[in-house]
Amino acid sequence: MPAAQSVRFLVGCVLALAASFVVAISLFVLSAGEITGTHGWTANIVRERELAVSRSQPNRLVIVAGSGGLFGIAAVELSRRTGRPAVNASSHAALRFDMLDYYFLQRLVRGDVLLLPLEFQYYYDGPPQEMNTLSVAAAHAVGLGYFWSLPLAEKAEYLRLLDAGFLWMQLRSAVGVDRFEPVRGYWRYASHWNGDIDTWGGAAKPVEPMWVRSKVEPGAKSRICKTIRALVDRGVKVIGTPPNAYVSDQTRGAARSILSDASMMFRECGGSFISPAGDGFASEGDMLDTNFHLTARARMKRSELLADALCTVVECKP
Amino acid sequence: MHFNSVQFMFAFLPVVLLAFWAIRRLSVVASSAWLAAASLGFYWLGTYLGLNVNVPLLLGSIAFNFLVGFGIFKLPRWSKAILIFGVSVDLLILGYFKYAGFILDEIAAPLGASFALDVPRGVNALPIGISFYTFTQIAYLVDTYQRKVRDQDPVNYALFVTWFPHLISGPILHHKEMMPQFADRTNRRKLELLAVGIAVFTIGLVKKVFLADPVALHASPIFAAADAGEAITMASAWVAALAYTLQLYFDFSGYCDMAVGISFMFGVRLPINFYSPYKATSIVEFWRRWHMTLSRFLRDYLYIPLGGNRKGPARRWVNLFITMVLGGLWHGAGWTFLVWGALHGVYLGINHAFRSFGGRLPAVIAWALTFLAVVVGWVFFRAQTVDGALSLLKAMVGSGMAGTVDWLAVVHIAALMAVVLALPNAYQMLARWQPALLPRDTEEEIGQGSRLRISLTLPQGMVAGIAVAVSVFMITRQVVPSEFLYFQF
Repeated sequence: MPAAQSVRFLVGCVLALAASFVVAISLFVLSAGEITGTHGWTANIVRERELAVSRSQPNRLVIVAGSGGLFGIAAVELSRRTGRPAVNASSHAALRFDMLDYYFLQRLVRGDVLLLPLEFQYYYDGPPQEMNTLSVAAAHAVGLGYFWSLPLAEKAEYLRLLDAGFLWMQLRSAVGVDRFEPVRGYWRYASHWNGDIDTWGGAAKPVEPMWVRSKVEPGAKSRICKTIRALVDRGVKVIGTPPNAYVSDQTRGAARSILSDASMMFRECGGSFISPAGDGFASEGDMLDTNFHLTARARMKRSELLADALCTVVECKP
Repeated sequence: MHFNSVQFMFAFLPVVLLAFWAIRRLSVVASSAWLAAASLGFYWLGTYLGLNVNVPLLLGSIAFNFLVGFGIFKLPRWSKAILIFGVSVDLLILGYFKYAGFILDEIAAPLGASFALDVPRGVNALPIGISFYTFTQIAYLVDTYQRKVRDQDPVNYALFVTWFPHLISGPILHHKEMMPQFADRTNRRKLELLAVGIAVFTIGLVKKVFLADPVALHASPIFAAADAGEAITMASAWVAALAYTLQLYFDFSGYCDMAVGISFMFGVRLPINFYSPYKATSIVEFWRRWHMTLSRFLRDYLYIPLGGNRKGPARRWVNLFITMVLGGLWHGAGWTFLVWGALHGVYLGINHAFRSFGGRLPAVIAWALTFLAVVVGWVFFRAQTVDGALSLLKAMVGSGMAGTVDWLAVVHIAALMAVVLALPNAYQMLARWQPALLPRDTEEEIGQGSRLRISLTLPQGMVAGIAVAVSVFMITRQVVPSEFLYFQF
């Protein structure tokens, strides 16, 4: 075979590979930053709360958790009772803890108070401590910032977890084929400038009680502790607190055990831990649609109790 | 490390290949040493994929067999005793890792014997590649005894055993066909080797990623249900059996193509291992096309020493049966493999008997019977238990519910069958370059190749590049890397 023939084949192969690579990069960039029906609500929540934290005044009180914090705590009530500007930067309990750090916690400065009513799953190893499909989709819909912040190995994992169906939706949106109209599901709840959402009118629905593990797991402890220490070193006061949760009587023992573990972890790592009256446990009649989303009425009650507990560790000037 | 991993394709292979060609310009011996070291590195890197890698065992096995071979060569008077000793030790080690748990749990325990022994159990306890490198070395010892081996160079020997394209899943090599290639000092056309190697590799990659892995989704849940004792409908049983038949075909053929392509890039032809077996019109022909190097090994080192066909038809049948049962057990310690091997022993007996009576069938009927027999065999090969296999086979003959037909699966299977039956294989498409070592009859059959040829044009190169790129995209979506089925053997 003449060498030229081999060269032509190899050139074709290399050109096609290079072109495929360029196309893939272009599609990756083009698909970022689009809010669509696939995880768009979560991405939008992240984007709005990031903005809310950035725009708020120093010496603020910032609440960071999954959607338990969003549906279970009213920042406006905490602000009224503590006299501090408060932002509810809660989003979705499947979001990687590292993402909460990237989007919200890194914006906190000396004098700020951080309240972490973390859902129980943040105390377990595995998702949401690990990279997961929902986190990657939400981060990608927000933009490329989180991707660039990752170390190389995690960048590869991010790319691996970008679902083809999700990318397709993003691209259709990017080129204007799909017009997403945010009117259904949680989109119908309006967001306040301070991150609170308005769920008034939402009626309680029957839900199953949640299952809870009894210990804070080592990987989760290590990650959360590292973040708390970094914040404390920056002069941020970090306060852990139980999440709002509907648990069965049989599970309550395990829930108390993990909360006791969490309390110890926060203290060991330089933060503090407050337990409001009732320890965040709610009854089925308080639940909006899941076992950690409260109705608007229950949220106000929970916020009052939380504010009372908060004022035992921070100076409150109502 | 898997051939179908991004790390292998874009890091390991290019680095080893570039370094090989650079070193080879200086010294052929040094380049062989580099390849042996890289092959060991390839094996060791399997640790990071959670594979059961046992480097000391591999190195110990190489050193032991090299010394035994040296002894056979240098001490002709004692050569038979040394050969028996060497082969026995090899088989004992293989038996310990592969069969000890099975013998204790499945044979001794039901007979009432109990041994408080902690032995390796199950597929995961088996050091990866042990079945292949043990058989390769047994062949070496026998060839040395028969004076077919002259080379006694330790580096070349280590390379012959560890040569990474074949180390984990074969093909099973013969010393005499590999050593001249490793020692070849002629100037080679690197670009041609690279282009042909990439073409064969890409065909294998496409088979694995686009054909084998997706069709597995139709088979795995139904086999799992059958093993769990759940009721299987007739339609789903057929879908599962045919889907697995095709999965194994494309998986193994994909692996073989990739191994041949990789080796060819280095200027080394591996023996052909897979030649369109589902086009066979008899079981005898099937075994001349499926896992050809294992068939060759079993014929040369088991069937012929047992007496082959030299002692009459009855003894020939017994020899075939023993060979196939042991061939079945080579795939794994389990009753299902034993039944599979025995079944093929019976098939071969019937086939030879039919031929000896001068029987002939129309080609279509012969093909259909052969294919059906193979599919039935694969049910035992795939199932975890004999009961699971029997329950699936009973469902196939309509013992249970008829069930609804998954037409998507049927169309998928029909499309793949069309690929199997209508398209030429990689060696026919690339006949001009003969990327693999071919037995004479296969070489004659390939002849000038097929109408559908790969002539290494620019557009064909672009198709290959796009196929690799899309494959990489699909591979990176997998939560768990997709292993080749023959890794477990």
